[in-house]
Amino acid sequence: MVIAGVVITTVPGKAPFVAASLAHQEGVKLVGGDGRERIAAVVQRASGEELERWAESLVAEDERVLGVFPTFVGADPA
Amino acid sequence: MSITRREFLESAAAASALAALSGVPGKALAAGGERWVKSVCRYCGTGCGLYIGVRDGKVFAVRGDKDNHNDGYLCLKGFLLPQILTAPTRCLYPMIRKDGKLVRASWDEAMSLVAAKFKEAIEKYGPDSVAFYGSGQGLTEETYVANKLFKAGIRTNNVEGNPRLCMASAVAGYVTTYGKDEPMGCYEDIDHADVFLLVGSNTAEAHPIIFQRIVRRKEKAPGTKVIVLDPRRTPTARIADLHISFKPGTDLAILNAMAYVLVTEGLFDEAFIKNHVVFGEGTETNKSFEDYKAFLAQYTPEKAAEIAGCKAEDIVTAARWFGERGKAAMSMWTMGLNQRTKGVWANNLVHNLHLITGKIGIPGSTPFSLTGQPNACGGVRDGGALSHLLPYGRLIANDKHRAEMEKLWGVPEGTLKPKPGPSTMEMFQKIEAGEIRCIYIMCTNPGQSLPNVGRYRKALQREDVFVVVAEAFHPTRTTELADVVLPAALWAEKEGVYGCSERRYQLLEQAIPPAGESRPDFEILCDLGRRLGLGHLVPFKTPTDIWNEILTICKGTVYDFSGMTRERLRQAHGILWPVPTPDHPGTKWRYVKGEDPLVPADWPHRIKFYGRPDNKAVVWLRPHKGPEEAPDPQFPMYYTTGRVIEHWHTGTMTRTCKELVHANAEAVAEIHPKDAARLGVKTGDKVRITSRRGSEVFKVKVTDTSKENLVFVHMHDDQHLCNLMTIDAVDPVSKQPEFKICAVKVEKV
Amino acid sequence: MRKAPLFILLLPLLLAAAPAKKAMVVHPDVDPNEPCDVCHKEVTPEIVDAWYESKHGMNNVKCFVCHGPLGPEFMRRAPVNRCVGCHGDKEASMALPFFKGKDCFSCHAGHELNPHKLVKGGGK
Repeated sequence: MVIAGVVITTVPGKAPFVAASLAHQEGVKLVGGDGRERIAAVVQRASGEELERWAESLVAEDERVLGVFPTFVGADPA
Repeated sequence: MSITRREFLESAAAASALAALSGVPGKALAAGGERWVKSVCRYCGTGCGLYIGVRDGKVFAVRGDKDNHNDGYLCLKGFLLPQILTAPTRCLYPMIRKDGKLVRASWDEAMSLVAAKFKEAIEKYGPDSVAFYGSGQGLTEETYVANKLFKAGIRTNNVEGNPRLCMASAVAGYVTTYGKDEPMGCYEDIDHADVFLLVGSNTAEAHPIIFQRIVRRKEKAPGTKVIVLDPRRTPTARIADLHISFKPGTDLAILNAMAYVLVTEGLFDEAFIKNHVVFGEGTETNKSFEDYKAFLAQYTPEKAAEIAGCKAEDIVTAARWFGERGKAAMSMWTMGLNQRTKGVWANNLVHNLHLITGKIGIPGSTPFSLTGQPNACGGVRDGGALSHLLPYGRLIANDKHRAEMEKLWGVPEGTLKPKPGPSTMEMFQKIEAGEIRCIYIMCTNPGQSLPNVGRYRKALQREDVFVVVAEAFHPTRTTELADVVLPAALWAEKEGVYGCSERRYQLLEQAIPPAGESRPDFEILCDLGRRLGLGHLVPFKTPTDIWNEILTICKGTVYDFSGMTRERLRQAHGILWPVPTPDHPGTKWRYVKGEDPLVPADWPHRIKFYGRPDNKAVVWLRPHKGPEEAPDPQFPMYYTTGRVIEHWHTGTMTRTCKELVHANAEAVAEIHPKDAARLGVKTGDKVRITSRRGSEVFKVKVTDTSKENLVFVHMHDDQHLCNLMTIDAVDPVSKQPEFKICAVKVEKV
Repeated sequence: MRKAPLFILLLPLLLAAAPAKKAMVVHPDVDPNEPCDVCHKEVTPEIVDAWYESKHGMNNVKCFVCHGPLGPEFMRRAPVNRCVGCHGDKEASMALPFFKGKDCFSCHAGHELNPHKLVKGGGK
């Protein structure tokens, strides 16, 4: 299990809408944001590769998302 | 109570993400000892705002001004500006020609000689034996001082400037159509236009930041159409939805044919024409809309296509896109239309398209002339520093205007001579004829930039002509011909105002002291004035003194920017005139009620063309007429000149930048592959290009961006002068030369 | 078996994104009068295409603007203070903690210039 803190940057003004679409995603917990173009979240995925895949698909598929920046990554082997 | 590893990781993750959000960055921090000085780019008429970075007394960088119209962007030339200040070719001390060589002299020695020579000529041969040739790169204050000194002090109207070579036809186009010079729209129109008509403009290379704004408009509104009219397929055509290539000089037929389509397909605005337009021919406004329609009958798309060598259906498409109801249409043009013997007519024809459709004075709909130099508008055009003008819309030949200026300048009635002076080419021809014996050349390089330059280089070398050149660089193709060279302060080394294409006046603050012994041009001119006994006319200690006088001169004219106090300019990022009071925000859309302070609130229509006595604009009936010198069996190819993005004007500044000295610096002959095959040349070979006037050898570049039977050479190379071949024939109204078209033969060397 | 901590797995990713050390990178000795694309269209065509399709290519922000002139001042990777000449509004955000140790090209592909996405035609 991999747990990462991430900042998701969006097209200015779109952060609240992106946040709404992420709110019910499995393993994603929204913890804050600037209400305009940045979202802070904690993401849990089974492995590092899955975390990367999640980040890549978010950027590729959601036009409003400009980037996903990990700020912290930890592994809980349990 | 213990915390699980997972809980710990989650809270650590959350904390770090939140921490990354916080910490709102403040304004760009200045790392120790840096100062950022607000200014404007030294190069083209786009007039990009920038900040000059100074550290340890040196300029180390520039940065685009995000609060100005250019939104922080700079083109590659502006980006590299700092290097020009410390170039090895900077002219750092005065020089006098002794025994055929220019040798170093003191300021006093140089200025004494200049004053003595001018005094001698004036006494012996009269005031018209001396002349001033200035520049659209001079600061407004400098040009103002020269204009006043020569016209009101020395009392000669021999005051000209290089905007005669680039903008005179645009000026005369605006004046004949609307009564007054200068565009009525602004750059913001780009953000609202649905159709762009770019004619005679390689915007991508000559006005890159304006091009970028058009690109952004296209990205934002994907239905935006771009029509490019240019014989060559330049980088500008990259964004064209329709590029029409045509035989050089036949664009008047195309523009008339577009009008034909607009009229016959009912794409004209009847009410607008009724309220705001009169029709004219020659110089008389004695025609009607019916006359105009009848006139246009000879310019069907088919007939125009035959003249121009393009497709009739393309002309129809261009017209329909331009004229589509509900779509905003913006035209932009520059040298392709202006540097022509029919330049004024070409300008009139563009204005016609906007006037008959009523696509003018609405955001996105405007005929917008792109100015080449950073201060052709502010300093020379608006400032009236041409031989037939007085400041701010006044004319030498107008008794009332002369009387007004005499009063404002505090000189006796009758001081100003009533006869306009010679235009630039006439002035240099007078030098050739021995009638002008002293010339003061400021901030320009006629020894490279005049058409048929060989002829005038010879004239400047006459024994009995005394040539003074105030210039920041040496050697240039003009300083090498001078009798006295005066080192001028350059760009960041002096303070003053530039006025760019969109009527935006902006202050260039001084960032560093003048290099070497150089002095700001206004100081040099005031010094000359004092030595000629005319110090009372030019008593200025600072550029602000001059500006404050200028504010009194413009008051009450259609330019009225008396609300642009120096302090306002210091705070602002440029202000668009008219600005009649200190609290007026500036005028984006001239002639428009509610936008333009000079249109009274009770005017019954949305537009008032107050520049003309009947408050209406003129649609002029202008027939197609080709260039002065078309190809013939002896000289079978078209020759044209122009620009590339890496360099500016005669290259004296851009060639000093490390990144640019090898980038497109050498002028080469751009030839179409079919012509190359016929001539038996490939890229890298050499050809000799010969016209009736001169000849030069160039390396070849084979490119399909050129047009068949057309050879293009750029103007920026001081070692391969494109102007040895160009023709000095001029437009009869504007007196602007036809740099863009003449006839040459091309031979493999 | 103890799974390797993820941050070690991600380390190469982070390092790859970090700005190159200031090593002396020298451009091969070529004729400075020849435009860059004469060679690079053959040697690195994908870079020339990527640049041409990008916003820089559209607006003629030519090679030397980012890379400097050929010779001792040539830069393989433009430093932030080169970019901010036109993109000054981005400079302040580079001071944020999560940009520590990063420069513009940590996220913006060198010639495509889009963050993360390599989209034809210029993208966002």
